[in-house]
Amino acid sequence: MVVALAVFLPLLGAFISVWLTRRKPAMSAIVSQLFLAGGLLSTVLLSIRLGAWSFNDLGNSVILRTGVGAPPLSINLEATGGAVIAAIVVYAATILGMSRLTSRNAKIQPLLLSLVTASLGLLFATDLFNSFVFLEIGSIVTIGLTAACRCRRRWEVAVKVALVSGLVTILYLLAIVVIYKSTGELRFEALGMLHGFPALLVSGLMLTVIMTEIKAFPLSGWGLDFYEGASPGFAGVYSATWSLAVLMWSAGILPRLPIPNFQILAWIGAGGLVLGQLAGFRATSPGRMMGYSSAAYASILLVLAGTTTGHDYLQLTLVLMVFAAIAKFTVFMLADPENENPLKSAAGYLLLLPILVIAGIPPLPVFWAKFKLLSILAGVSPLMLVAVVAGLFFEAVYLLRLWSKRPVRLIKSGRLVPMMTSLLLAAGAVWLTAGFQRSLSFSGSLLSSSTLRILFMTVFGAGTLLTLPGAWNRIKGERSYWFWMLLSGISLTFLPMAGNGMTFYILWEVSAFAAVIAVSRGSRAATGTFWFAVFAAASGFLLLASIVLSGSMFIAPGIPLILVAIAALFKLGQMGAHLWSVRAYSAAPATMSAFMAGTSSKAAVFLLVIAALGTGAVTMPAGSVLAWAGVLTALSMAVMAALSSDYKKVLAYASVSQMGYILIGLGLASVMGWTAAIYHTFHHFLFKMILFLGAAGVIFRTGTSDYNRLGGLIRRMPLTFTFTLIAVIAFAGVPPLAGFGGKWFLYNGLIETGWLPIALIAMFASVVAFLYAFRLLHAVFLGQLSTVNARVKEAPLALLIPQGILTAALMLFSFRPTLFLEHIIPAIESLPGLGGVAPVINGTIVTTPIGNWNAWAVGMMVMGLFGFAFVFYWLSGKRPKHVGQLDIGFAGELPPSAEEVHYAGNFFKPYKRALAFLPRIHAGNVFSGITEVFKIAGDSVRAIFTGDARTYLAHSLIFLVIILIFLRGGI
Amino acid sequence: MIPLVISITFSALAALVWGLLLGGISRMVTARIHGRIGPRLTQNFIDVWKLFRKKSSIHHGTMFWLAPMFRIAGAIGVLVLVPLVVGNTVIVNMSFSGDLLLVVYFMFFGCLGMALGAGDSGHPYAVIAVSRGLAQMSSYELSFSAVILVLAAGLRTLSIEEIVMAQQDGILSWNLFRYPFATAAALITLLPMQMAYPFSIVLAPQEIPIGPPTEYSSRFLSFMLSGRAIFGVAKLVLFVNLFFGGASGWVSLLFKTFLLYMFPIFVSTVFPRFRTEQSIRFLWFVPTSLAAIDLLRVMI
Repeated sequence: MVVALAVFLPLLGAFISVWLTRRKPAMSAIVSQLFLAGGLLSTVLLSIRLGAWSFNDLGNSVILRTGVGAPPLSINLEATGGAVIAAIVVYAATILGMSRLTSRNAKIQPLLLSLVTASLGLLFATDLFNSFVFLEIGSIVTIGLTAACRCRRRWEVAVKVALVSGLVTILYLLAIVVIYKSTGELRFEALGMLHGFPALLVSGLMLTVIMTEIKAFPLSGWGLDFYEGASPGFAGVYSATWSLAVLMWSAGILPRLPIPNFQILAWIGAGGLVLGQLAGFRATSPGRMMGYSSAAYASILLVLAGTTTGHDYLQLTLVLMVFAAIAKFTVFMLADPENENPLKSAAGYLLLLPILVIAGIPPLPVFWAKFKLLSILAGVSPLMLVAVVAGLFFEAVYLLRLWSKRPVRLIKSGRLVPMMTSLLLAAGAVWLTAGFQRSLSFSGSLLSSSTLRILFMTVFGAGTLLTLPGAWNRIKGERSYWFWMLLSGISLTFLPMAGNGMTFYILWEVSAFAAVIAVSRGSRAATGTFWFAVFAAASGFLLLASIVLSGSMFIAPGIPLILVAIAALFKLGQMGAHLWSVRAYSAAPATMSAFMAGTSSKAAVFLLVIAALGTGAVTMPAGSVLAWAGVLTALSMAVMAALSSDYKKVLAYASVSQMGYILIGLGLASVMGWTAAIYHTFHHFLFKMILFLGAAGVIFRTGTSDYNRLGGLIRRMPLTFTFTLIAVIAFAGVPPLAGFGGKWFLYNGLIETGWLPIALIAMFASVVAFLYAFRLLHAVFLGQLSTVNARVKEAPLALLIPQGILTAALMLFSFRPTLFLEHIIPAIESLPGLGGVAPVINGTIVTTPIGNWNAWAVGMMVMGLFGFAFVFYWLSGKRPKHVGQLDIGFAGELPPSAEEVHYAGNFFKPYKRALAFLPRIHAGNVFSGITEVFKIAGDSVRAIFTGDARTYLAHSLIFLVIILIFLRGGI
Repeated sequence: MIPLVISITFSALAALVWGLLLGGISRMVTARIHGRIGPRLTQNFIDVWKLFRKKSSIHHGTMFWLAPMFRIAGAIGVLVLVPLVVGNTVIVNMSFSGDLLLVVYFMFFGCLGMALGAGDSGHPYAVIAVSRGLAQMSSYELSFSAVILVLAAGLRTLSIEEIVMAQQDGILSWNLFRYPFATAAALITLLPMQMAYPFSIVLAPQEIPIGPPTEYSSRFLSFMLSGRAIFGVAKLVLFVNLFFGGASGWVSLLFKTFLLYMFPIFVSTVFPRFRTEQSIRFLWFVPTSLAAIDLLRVMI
């Protein structure tokens, strides 16, 4: 009874509303909603009775028989748990979307209600001919609704839908005829009873029908045009109702097809995913992008059907299709059809959440299903896994472009519907996470040494706490980002406690995407955010692929380890990937850059450490390759920093450059090398954070980060200068401050292992670091103070106090590095598989086989010498007189103005002139080249979508022929 | 502790006296080559003392007056970290606190300080000089690093004492003969280190009025000059230890540093000044290639 109500109430409502919209239009909307509400209530009751909400027991069902006799003379419906949940989504979407659709044209209400009935009928159908009836209703209603909107392209799209539906009808009816002739019945089970030639023919026909209907590549052309050209309101409702119903129906039919080898389906799906998403690389219209995304999910369904069965299949299908549908609905509801750029006024978060859901970012709902699917695929075929991951990555690229490039506006009223559906998605995330939380583990067993674990947690935690106060100071154009920074920091702090691959991956992705969101809150942040998001997605997918390929280990040696190494290199910004780093740091709010430089980059180091250890002994994937990558990056980034004129850019390049040193240390795979790497990781955190916080203070007070507009700030911001000076001396590696230790261990390690060319380039790179270090200090703090900045105040306390704390820590560890080393060196020695001799600590002296270092003595000596010099100054008579800024020796004249005697621009012109003969290898060109390749490949694939409906019909027919040939086993 | 302070003070004073004296000798020698008489031998002493005793002095800011302190601390620091006479147990200073890498990096300490002071002076010529100096320094450090790697890898030690000990087997065991190309490279890099022509682009009289010390006067300038003298001597002692077998006694130390000091002097009286980019190109390729020959030898 409940089933009948659920399916047929809307139909009743449709009939009534036909009459009502003519006579009493005002009431018709309310009445229609009432009918829909009634239907929704019945479906909810049904779902509770079936116990479908645990997502575990999806096989229960309730059967409804109508009419007399057996189908096809009557309609028999079977409501399974999964189908009922989908039905609830159908109802909810229609209720929420109805007012938007009918506000212009009330007469479409009957069509909408009929669409709901058709969807539900399709969801619950058990018989092929019944399905055909509902399929026809749905198609015709779709054509009507498409034509009913006010958009420009409605006739074109409606005709396409009509033509394609017509072809589908023909093929489907052919299949039905063959089935009935062979088996005498038309229930779904009849498909299993076919043999021989009828089985072959029916499989081919049904497969073509399904693929055309679900819009899987290569038959997705009409779908793309449809999503692009239909009104966003209808497209949204369509994707959450009819499209969902068709997908679920196809999911029911596909496993029953009499195909000899189901892997064919999976390969069609995987190949379609890669090629289809590649074609979408250059999509710009949001509707079309959603169309490509639909095609992606259709391909995923094929992969699922080809590789999973039973409970897994039901569960994964349901989760993926339902949540993707809700997310697409949300995106469409945010679009404003009047506007040239439909998402122009879309609220940031509301757009972000569904996009992240579609892309499968944890902990959002779709992620769990994708993870499970990928784990299953890893066992089936690594090639298929690679194809699917690549396809998912391409999808993520255009989705992220969709999100990051739209202009930003604040939330306005009238966003009720998207807000509600977003809440649904969030609720789904919580629900599923609770269900899957048994597979999470926080035992920290990935890193055997608890000292190192504590070290990393301290770095991440302290980094978060120290940058949080600074997030309160925002310059004009920045929006509030502290929450995302905090979220990113918290998930990073828990990262060392992860006990298995899935936990690690979730924490990693959450922190990466929270950072992406925080960066996007900067002023003028669009391009930087996009680059950051793409690279974050890339390293995330590489990490996911390698975790999934490794099975029960965290990271298996061989291919997974190499993938992880590449992921870490991307995240560290090495070898050309620095582009995202520099753009993101420039675009981000300055305090966020501080956070990223100090903590996020260390996460990649942590990943390399545990990946190398993951197999029980340190296995660096081609350590010398890593070391070369690191040293070349260190040098090239140092040069870029020296030639750059923007405060944040310089610090970004410097960051990437220092990460190169750490990479060399790790690549050595010796105790000395790892000591250098860990030492440098910790100290780099200290001084880079001081530098970025200082930059945040300067930028906050002066409003600019351009070297050419700063200068002389030592007079107005002396504390910031002091902290920055100490940090700069530290990272330049000048004793007695801390940075020297890292360099010392590194060179010892390199000489010990015999990698002299790398040592030479590394030493040279550290000298080049002086160039940009000095330029930084001079251009910002020294020289002449311009009149514009003559009244700036010192940086706010919220930035100064963290800098002070970090500087104190830096000084402490500079003078007494053994305090740090006496814990770290034993911890590193305890790691299995590291070769070489460990440095020995004797009190304050550190000794290696070839050298020794007594930081305490050197520090005391410097302090003593300074003291002596001070005393001398004091004793030398009358105090010197402070003269004005412009009172300099200027050939007897007065300098015209401060700006005209400040030398900060084009600082290293002689260098550029001297080395002008070297070719300028621009990393940007490499990435542009790679992107061009993808664009060209994507364009050639996309060329099959001509926009002409006849081509799409041809696609389906050609596909039919090819699949028949394939199923037969070749010509 | 007290003996250490005494020995450091003694070393610093001795280096100061020797450095200023060497400076005076070089001015006399240069003058005679030019056909002039030149100033007195003790002219530098008089200059330093006069400047120190000047009643009035000006400064442009905190970093400005801190810089000469950086300079002196850096100079004396390097002197103290390098063993003066290896084997002498009276004047040991702090030569066991750090090895060659520490010394090389510590040399940057004083330079950094002076550069900062030049920046704070507000005079554009000072900063121009610093940018040229940095460009040149990064160029010669490339080959100097190669030389250090040759010594470290070849002798399997970074400790200066042990490098000297390895050269005690008679004159032919000096690194001058063991690694001649590396020594040649190092001697070429000694020229820009001592600001000798043709690499004198930092303090470039007539071009940028004296460069970094442009705004410095009276006691600050006296500190700078003293620091320069001590630093010069420290570098010479380092080179003697690294390439010329170290000093077996005080007389030998004075003699060897004197001879080594004359090398940049003679070169500088003959050559004019390079342009910055010429200097960069020369230092990138010529000494580096020389050092690379010995580096390859060591690696194989």
